Amino acid sequence: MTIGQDLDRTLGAYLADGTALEDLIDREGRTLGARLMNDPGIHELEMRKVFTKNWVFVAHESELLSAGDFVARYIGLDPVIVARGDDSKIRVLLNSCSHRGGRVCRSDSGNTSDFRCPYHGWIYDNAGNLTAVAFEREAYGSLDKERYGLRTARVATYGGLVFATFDAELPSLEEYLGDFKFYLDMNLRFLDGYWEVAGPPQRWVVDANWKFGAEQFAGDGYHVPSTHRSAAEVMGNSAGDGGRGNWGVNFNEPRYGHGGRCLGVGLAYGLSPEQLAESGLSPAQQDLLATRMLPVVGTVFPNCSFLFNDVLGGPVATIRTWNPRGPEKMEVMSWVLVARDAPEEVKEERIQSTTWAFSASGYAEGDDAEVWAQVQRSIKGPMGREQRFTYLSTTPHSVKDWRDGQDFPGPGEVHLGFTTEDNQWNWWLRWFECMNRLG
Amino acid sequence: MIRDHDVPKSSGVSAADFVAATQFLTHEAELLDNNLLDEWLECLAHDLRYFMPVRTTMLRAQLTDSVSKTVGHFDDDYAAIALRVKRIQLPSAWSEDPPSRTRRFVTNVRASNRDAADEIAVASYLLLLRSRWDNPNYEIISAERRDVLRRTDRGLQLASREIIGDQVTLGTTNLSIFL
Repeated sequence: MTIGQDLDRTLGAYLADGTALEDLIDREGRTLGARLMNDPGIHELEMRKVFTKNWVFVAHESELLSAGDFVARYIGLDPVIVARGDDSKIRVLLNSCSHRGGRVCRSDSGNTSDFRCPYHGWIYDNAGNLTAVAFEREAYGSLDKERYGLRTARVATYGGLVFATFDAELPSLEEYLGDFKFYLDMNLRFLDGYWEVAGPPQRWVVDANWKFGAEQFAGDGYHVPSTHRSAAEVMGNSAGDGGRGNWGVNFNEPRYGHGGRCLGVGLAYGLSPEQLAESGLSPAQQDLLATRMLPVVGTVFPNCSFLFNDVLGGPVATIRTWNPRGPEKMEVMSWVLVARDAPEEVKEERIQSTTWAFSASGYAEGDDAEVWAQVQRSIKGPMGREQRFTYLSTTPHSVKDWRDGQDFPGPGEVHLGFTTEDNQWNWWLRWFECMNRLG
Repeated sequence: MIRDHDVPKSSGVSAADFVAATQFLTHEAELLDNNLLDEWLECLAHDLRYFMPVRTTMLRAQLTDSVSKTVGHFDDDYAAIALRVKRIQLPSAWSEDPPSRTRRFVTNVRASNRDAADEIAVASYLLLLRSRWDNPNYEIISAERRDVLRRTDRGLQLASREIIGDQVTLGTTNLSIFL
């Protein structure tokens, strides 16, 4: 650890050269130090303070349909197993043997009753309990195996999304999502079991800090006309000129940093009035759904983002995580979602249009990655590190006269337009809260 | 959704066909490495399927599952490829302007006849080195490509390509190039 842990307990976090983390944020002037995006000490600290202390997305329930199903994932840099035990309960287990740290799960997915460490042969069941130890009598006489299960995280699900945290104190997932649930519901929860993953996640690295992806998806509509100019031009849509397709309402959950954008280009779910009535959605949600004023993009703090829209050349539905792989590198894990009961050709169309627009090869996403990677290079030197990122664009914390003289009906903090940087700022305020917290 | 994974078993084609197939692949690499994307487009059949399945790490006993049958890094038809080609050549296509310098090495070619008399199945290895900006490190992609080439009055055309990459996590910031 390059950051003094003793200092950090009493005064907030400090960097190795004595800079206080707090000096990298100007809360009044709304600027951030570029070092936040490349400092090795910050990277090391956020692995613990952000990634072990928040609810982190690890899997979709449709990946774990049967008892014994598992997938191998990450919480930050920690490899974890997400497994449905023989008791049907989903657990998240650290993929590291209690004896010498060995990797006990050795494939990306499958179905198993137990995980065996190849190093000395300790065996765990799919609930993480240590069930057998090689040569136990010779080695230990008798080992209290209950003490040596795999390290287990708390698990909770919402709308098919499986989240985990290693923090015992963190509020429940429901409380953590807070007002953001109103928005998540409109794509994820109104039809129970509507979505399934199309297959394993697409994975690729981007030579940029993970926070670029997280904060952008939390609400950056401002980048669309420039970053995605060629994409808009080739598709002939209006996003490129900041027109209707990009105009909407940004919403955020001020307590926990989540943010997203409602635009009138949400997916057409094609629900009948009867289905809508049975959806469990509130009248306000139903009203927004009817006009496809849906959350089309957003981030659940810290690193889980989604994209559900119909403006990129076909229906796009993806959920992804931005996984840190060092201060200047991230791994994107991106799942394509399809409607479970749709005909095969409809599923295939969804997979193709999502992959075409948002993936490593995505005609839109490729330019995001290029831009982030070049920022990363531009802030590498001593002067670059002194750059201050600005978040000056702001709009009022409510949307008046949204329709027929009514205010925008969604909860949380809402901001009209697409240039507002309020959501991204809010994401960062939560990040600083986590980083400056004791322990 | 399940794609045809037939790899040509041996060089069951005539020497002339084998040479033509090899020349096609070499020509294609030359066009792509020299940013002649519109010319490359002319090598593609209009019913093209272009798919690069996602790979996963699997134990030997489940090895066939390591190539996804449903999700890919590319999953395109001809129209999608044509739009990519159009976009990449716009001045605001940041991911490829300035363009990458690429070098495609195509080897280990195998070919066999297909039931359709005008088609041959061709498998090849691809090693692609991609250099961007002044970064001295290459982005590298290695893959086996399983193609269907079709004889037309304009020469061979690519009717189907499946790109079986070797990486579970691609080492490229984006795939704004063709494989």
